Amino acid sequence: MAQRLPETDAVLLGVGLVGSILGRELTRAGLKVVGLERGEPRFTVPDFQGPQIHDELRYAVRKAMMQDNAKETVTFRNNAKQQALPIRRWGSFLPGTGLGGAAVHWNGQTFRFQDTDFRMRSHTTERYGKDFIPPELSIQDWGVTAADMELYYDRFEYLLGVSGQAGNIKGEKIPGGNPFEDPRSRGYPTPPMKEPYGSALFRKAAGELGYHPFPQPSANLSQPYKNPEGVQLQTCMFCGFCERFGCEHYAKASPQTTLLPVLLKDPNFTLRTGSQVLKINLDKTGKQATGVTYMDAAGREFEQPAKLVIVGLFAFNNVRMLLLSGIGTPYDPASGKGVVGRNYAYQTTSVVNVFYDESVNINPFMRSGANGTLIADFVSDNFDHGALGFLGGAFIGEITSHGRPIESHPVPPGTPAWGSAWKKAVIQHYNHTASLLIHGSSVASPGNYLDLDPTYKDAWGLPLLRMTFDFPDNDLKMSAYLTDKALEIGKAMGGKIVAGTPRKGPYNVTQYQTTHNTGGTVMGADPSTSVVNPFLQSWDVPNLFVIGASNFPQNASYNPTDTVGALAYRAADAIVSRYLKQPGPLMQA
Amino acid sequence: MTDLDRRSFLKSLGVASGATTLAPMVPLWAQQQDIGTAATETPTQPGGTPPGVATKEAPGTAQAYVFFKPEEARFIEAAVARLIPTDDNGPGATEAGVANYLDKQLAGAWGAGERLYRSGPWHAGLPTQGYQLPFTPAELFRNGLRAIENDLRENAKTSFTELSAEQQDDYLRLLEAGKKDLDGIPSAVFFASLWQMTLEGFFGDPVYGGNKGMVSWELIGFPGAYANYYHLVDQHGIKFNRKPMSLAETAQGQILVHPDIPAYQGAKERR
Amino acid sequence: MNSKRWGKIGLLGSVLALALSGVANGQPAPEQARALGEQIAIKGTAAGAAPCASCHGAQGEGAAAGGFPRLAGQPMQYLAKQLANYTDGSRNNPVMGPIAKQLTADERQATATYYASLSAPAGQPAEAAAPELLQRGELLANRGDNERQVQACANCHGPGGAGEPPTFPYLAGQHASYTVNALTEWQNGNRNNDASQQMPSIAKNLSKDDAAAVAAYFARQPPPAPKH
Repeated sequence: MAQRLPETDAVLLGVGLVGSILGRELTRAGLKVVGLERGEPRFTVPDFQGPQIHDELRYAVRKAMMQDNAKETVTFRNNAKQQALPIRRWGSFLPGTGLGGAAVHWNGQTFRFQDTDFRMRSHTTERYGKDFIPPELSIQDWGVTAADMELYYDRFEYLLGVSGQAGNIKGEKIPGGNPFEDPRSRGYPTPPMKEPYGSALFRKAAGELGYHPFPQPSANLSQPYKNPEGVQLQTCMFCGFCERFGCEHYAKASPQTTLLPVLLKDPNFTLRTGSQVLKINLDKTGKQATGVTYMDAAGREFEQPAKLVIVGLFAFNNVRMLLLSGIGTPYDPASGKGVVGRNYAYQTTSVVNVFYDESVNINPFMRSGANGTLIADFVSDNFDHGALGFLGGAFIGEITSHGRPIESHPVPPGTPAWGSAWKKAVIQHYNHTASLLIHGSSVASPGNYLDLDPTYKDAWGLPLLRMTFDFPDNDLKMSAYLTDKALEIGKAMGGKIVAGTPRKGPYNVTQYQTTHNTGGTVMGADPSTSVVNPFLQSWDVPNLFVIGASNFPQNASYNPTDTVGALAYRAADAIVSRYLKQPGPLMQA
Repeated sequence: MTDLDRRSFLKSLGVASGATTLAPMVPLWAQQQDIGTAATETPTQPGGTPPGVATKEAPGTAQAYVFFKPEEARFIEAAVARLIPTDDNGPGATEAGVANYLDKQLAGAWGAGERLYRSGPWHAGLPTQGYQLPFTPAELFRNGLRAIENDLRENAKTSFTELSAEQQDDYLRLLEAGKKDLDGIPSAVFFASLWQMTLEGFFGDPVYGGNKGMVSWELIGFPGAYANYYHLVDQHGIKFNRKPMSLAETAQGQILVHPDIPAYQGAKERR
Repeated sequence: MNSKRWGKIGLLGSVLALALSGVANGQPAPEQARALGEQIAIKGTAAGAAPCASCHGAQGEGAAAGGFPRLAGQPMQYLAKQLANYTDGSRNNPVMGPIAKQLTADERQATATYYASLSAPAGQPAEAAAPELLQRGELLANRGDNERQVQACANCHGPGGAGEPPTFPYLAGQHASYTVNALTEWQNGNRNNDASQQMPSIAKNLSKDDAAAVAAYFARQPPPAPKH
């Protein structure tokens, strides 16, 4: 029987990026907040210290910072005709766990989505006509615009200290920045990072082809920075152990290096790690959350009553928590009705390798998580889709983050998979290969969704989340078109061999692609196609907010974190400035 | 390079004979290594040291297998030596101690299935769904190696180590292509595990018992765990020659590993 | 450097090559550079630069009493950069500034090459240090302090403070008096030659006691052995 604890003003499910932001904003507003984190507490010192943190096998290959599949995983199938089976070890994506969440082991790529992303359906219709969007795509607007988001992007980027070059300040174009970005109110907090060699080769070639290369906006900092919370970050040392690792230098923005030093000292905040939330509790009407039930690491069950419930888990777990708690109508692909689990989307990526001869030392180990140079010429709707037969786009960039040899030892196509010839090729190419990433959008389609698995359970006996996903044809066409563009750039970079293939179906969970899993608790202005309103408040339970990449109605070309952080600040602002004054729906359905 | 040539090559380095005096021209990687898998290079004598069991090279460097049985070790040593051969381009899986790495991994938490979702029901699944066998890595190797041994004995009246290098390669290719059913384990699944762990043992940090002397890092020019390149990253195209550094390295340049890994001198020194 | 070459060159060559090993050029420095460096170190220059050895010792072992650092076996690139920075003012030091300015660029390079090639025995810390101070120093050196947002020295200065050529000097075996002075210079801006600005940022997060602790700890560690 669960032990009932004293009521608190707000309870956070998960103390990662979203939980840390909401925790800080709500305690600042005077609320008593309890943060429930299923994972371990961990800090730069002593948990991310060198040299032990530079352990490729432990962190990158064996994935020490990720959710333990043995306790909790996801089942997967490509389509509803197949039997979904558990992902017994992570491959294609890597959900994290522990204090600070995935924002500890992320790379730090910090992009704003474009206005055309937030208004994808209406923008596409305006530009190409109402028949342009094929009926099999369930893309929709977000219920916000880039202008609505600017303040919150700015706030989040200044929290992190993002290093970058603005391309558009209040409508004025700035040379060297991203010319396609929507107006920002001011420049980045810190200047762009140093440009590695491969990126410089890309910049030159892309520029000569008429594209607009710019430095990747990075939350690995180019110089020391004290953020508005008074927390000091330091300079990234380009160690080549970023994504999948914690940072020993206080140089990668994470909750640990931006917010937790302040939040954890706040007497209004209580952190409980090792706390696995089992469900959100509702009152008899089903319209009001009363708190959560959770189990601590020793297996003891507790009920934590709360006036306000904030769900800030990884995208999958946001969806699963609502389904386990019976909140909202689960999506039914047969009828198209229901919303929870609807519009699951991913990211459509491919790689082009540029092999140089042995006189060109690329030094792939001298890299940081979010360094490098890219072009946005093919992002979103920055190019004319009229004759192309697909929607969406991708950035193309030389943004390699490491040269760790278990994972990265590129060889040209046709090289034997092992043996002397393989070894010779690895020696020949390891230090002489640049790699281009084509990082593409993912449209929503009615056949791609999340629900509860009828068979497989987690370590607490609860149903696992079931993913049904395959790449829509639209995205495979996009990948083919843009991988060709990347091959052209690779050739212009002077590679002796330039090789890469577009993303092909069927989607496979064994090979790492990205951890940009989105959708399932989609935001929007229409409750028949969204789970939360544009302030991320549940349509069904107004004292419940669900925040994360699960809010994305479909996924855009860029990495999601900046948008997740901005959405978190926007939701916090709505709660503090409006909801607390008059609890109830912030928007009428 | 034929197997015979390779033996001659190694012998010329004083490896197969276990000689400790080395000619000045011998490459550093050969000097530094206590080549722990000399057993495969030395014809097995009746009554002699069984391959794969504690091979003594020098005082304090006893190497013992804790997971592999002798016949399993024989296969693993020979197979990884074909996957990443010792050749004109430098050391291979043998010198890197890849067999030792596999042994220690399979004996420990990895072998026991750490972080592996292990509840049924069990279905073969589709390639897009990934690994779906009930076996832990240790069970996969134990069952797969037994099936391989039986397959060669029953169908070819031989064992893997009796095959020529070319024949060994051919057999590995059969496994890789999934042409064998290893008592319910698709051979492609077994091969993929063997290859992945071979890569780990070759390229991973020496603290885990492979990549001895950081031989693979020297080969490709990866500088290892100690890594700060802020001051160098914009010196485009420089040749970076710093000797690699292990995460288990001391100020004196010794690599200390966990004392439970008996293949290392450091184990003794640390106590 | 391909490993086979290591077998061919002699011990001295190895030491030289290692000193150079960080960046490029790849080749051991010309023996003339080392010889010139030795001459400067022992006799000074005609232009009036004082011999280095008069303060830094005959083997580059430094002198704790005067706060003169060990130089023996520091990365050549590191030493050359410091000498250059004494001339351009980004290391503002009343003693070394004038001396460095009396050296030509080639002479600075030669001096750095010479000292990088030396090894010197460990010095004996002059003064006693309280066990608590050394414990604090060890903690900062190898683990850091999250409260102060200070990371471990070892992250950049290598295993046990043995250095990470070519950029990061070794700290192990360095005289405590010098290390405290260096941290003070980072704090007060007299030393501002780290483009990453990481070192001043770290130094400013250390208290006076912390600086003394970390300096005392490293002074008691054996300096890195000459490699090969």
